[in-house]
Order: sequence, then C-alpha cells, then structure tokens
Amino acid sequence: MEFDSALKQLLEKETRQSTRVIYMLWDILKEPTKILQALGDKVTKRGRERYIVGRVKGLHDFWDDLSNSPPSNIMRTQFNRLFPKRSEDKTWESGRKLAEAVNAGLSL
Amino acid sequence: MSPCNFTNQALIQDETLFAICLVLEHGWPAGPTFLHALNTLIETVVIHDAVYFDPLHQFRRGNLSPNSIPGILRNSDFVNLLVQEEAIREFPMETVVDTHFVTDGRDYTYGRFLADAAWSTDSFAYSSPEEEASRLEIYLELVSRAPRLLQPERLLPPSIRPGSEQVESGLMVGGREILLMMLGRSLSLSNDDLLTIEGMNFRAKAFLDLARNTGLHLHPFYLALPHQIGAIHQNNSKALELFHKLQDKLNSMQDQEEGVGESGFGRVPIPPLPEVMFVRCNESNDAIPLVLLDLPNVHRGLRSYLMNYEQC
Repeated sequence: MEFDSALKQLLEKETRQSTRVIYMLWDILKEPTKILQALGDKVTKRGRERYIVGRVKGLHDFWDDLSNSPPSNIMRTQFNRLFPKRSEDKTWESGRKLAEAVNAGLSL
Repeated sequence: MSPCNFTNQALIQDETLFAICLVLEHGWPAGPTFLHALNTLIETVVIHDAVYFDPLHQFRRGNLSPNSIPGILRNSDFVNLLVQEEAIREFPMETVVDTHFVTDGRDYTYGRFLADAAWSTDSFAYSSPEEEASRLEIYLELVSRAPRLLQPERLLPPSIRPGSEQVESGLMVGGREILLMMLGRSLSLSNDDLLTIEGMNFRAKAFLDLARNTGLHLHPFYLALPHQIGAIHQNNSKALELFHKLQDKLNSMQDQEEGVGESGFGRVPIPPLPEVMFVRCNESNDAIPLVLLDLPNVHRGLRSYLMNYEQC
C-alpha cells in the first residue's frame, strides 16, 4: 500500500502515465537463502529438499510502445522530430500487429 | 556472503544496444524494433541500480568481426560512453557469478548458460532494414498460429537432425518432436527454419535461467520477446507442477501466487520515461546519450524506492 501511494504521487506529477509489464516467475530452489528461509520454514520442518517461490519481474511494456504505430500524440511528434528517417508504414503496422498478438497471449 | 548483489539490477540483451547503434550511428531508419530497444534502455537505466549487458563476454574480444554484434558495440561511441559513465556494465566474470550461485544455494552454473546460449549462433537481430518487416511478420504467424514452437524444446526428431547417424534400432516411437515438426510443416517451415527457431528458443531460455538464478530483471530485445514468453511459460509450468504437489503444505506462499497469477502477466504504472527523454532532447538526437545519462539522476527517488521495495 505504501508503494502504491508513493507511486501514485509520483505519477500525478507526470502528464501521461505509461505502464510496465510484470510477471510472476516461479523458481525451484534447492536451498533457500536467508531471505527465503522464513517462507520455507514450514517445508524445512517437513524435510523437503526443494522449495518453490515466486518472484515478480518486470519487462518494458512493448504493447504500450507499439499499440499505436507509428507512435502517437506527443510521442509521435517528438519521435518524428528526433528521427526523420523512419521505417516504412508497413513495418510499423507489422510491429503493431505482433504486439497485439503477443499481448493477447499474455492473459493479462 | 555472495560477491554479487543483484537487487534491483537488470540484464539487457546485446541486440537491444545493437538496434540503437544502427539508427544513431549507421543511418538505419528508425522502426518499431528500434523504438522498443530505445525505450527498454531508457527504462532500465532509470529504474535499475545497474544494467548489465554482454553476458557472453564478447565486447572486449578484438578478434571478432567489426560487423558482428560485439564488433559494432565495441566500436560504438554511444555504447562506450554508456560503459564509461557506468550507465551499463559488462556482465560479471564467470568465477564471480559461479561463486554467487554456490553462495546462494543455486543448482546452476555459468557453463549451463553458455551451453543453452550457444545452441545456435543466430542472434535475434535482423541484418538489413528491409528484413525487419519480414521478421515481424514471421513472428506474428508463429505467435498467432503455433506458440508451442516458441518453447525451449527440440523441434525435430533425432532421426532427421543434422549429423544424426542412422542406426538399425527398429521402428522408433514418435514423441513430442514429431508433433512439433508437423506443426512446423503446417506453417511451411523447413527443417532449417525449425532448427533456427529451436536455437533462438534455447538462447531465450539461457537468458531467462541466468536472470532467474541471479535475481536480475531481464529486459529482452523485441524480437526475442516471443521466445522469452515461451520460456517463461515452460519454466512456470514445470515449477507449478511441483508446486501443486506441495500446495497443501505451502499455504504461506499462496498470497504470492495471487499477486500476478500462476503464469500470468500484469501491468503497473510508471512515469512515461521515453516521452520525458524525447522532450529533453530538444529535437536533436545527438543529445540522446547525455540526456539518457542524466535521467537516472532526475528519477533517483523512484529508483531508490524500487530498490527498498525489492529488498523488503
């Protein structure tokens, strides 16, 4: 909750929100580290040798980048000024379609 | 005590830097893959305390072709400036990383990373601007019609793999490879195509396993993403199979599972970092390196908060 609150305050200062993709990566450990020890204690007592824990990881949000291709609004204006030599529209359209297909398979 | 602390640190693939160099320094047109690469670099540099590249330790090898990915990076002013200012860092050496794995109780070695990464020498990058659209279209086909082909497993049966020797062992029972090969055939993929895809799948697995065992956040190159997601699904399927067997005795972990979902994904808000950088560049892409180096200072508070959040 504290994290959410701090992030909200930070975002209110920005003109537009962006997003980041996160995912849970399940991990099988032979020996839990001290950090994970508390989590694994119940299993340790039962003599288990392996432990499964989840870690949240972050990815840059490819969908946010490419859902409007070429980049739209403020992003498009700035991007086009910085990079006057750009790929053909067909390439941008392919990028957008791939992002759409990958995004649909993420079960968000 | 581990020699490394990878808390709130990230790993990027060399193709990400390569795609940026080609546009900034070699006159290639800016396309969606470049946009994604630039945004990935901006986000990692701002959010993470350290960003590693070159896990294969090729950046300093002067005997590699100047036209290869490590050759282009080694001769790039942009990359050298980022390294010099420690915005990005070369991945720690094998002995350091292996010591970390031992200290952390990990059943993993740097050698295993190399073995998977070297499954094929094909990179995720494309060789000409015209090829970008073709690659994107091929991935669209694979992701939409045959995502199974993007998981790290053998896509051809042993009997028809290159270099396999025909032995008189009688009729073999077809396994998963037969089904995957037939799936590939339905998309008109040749054996060579399937071997290329297989190599990239294992390369993606190599990066995912390295990141998982070090605790690094992995930010893949855009054209590696379909392979990466396949590797994540496979990793989580295996772990969850074991997890479900123990589930009754692991009640304390259920809260974590509810966070994002078994193998699901979610989104969290962050500041629009690429837009902030583009505005600060004031219409000059020559300003990109210096603006990029300054951004982490502007957002120091966010990074510090994420660092503390991850340590808790």
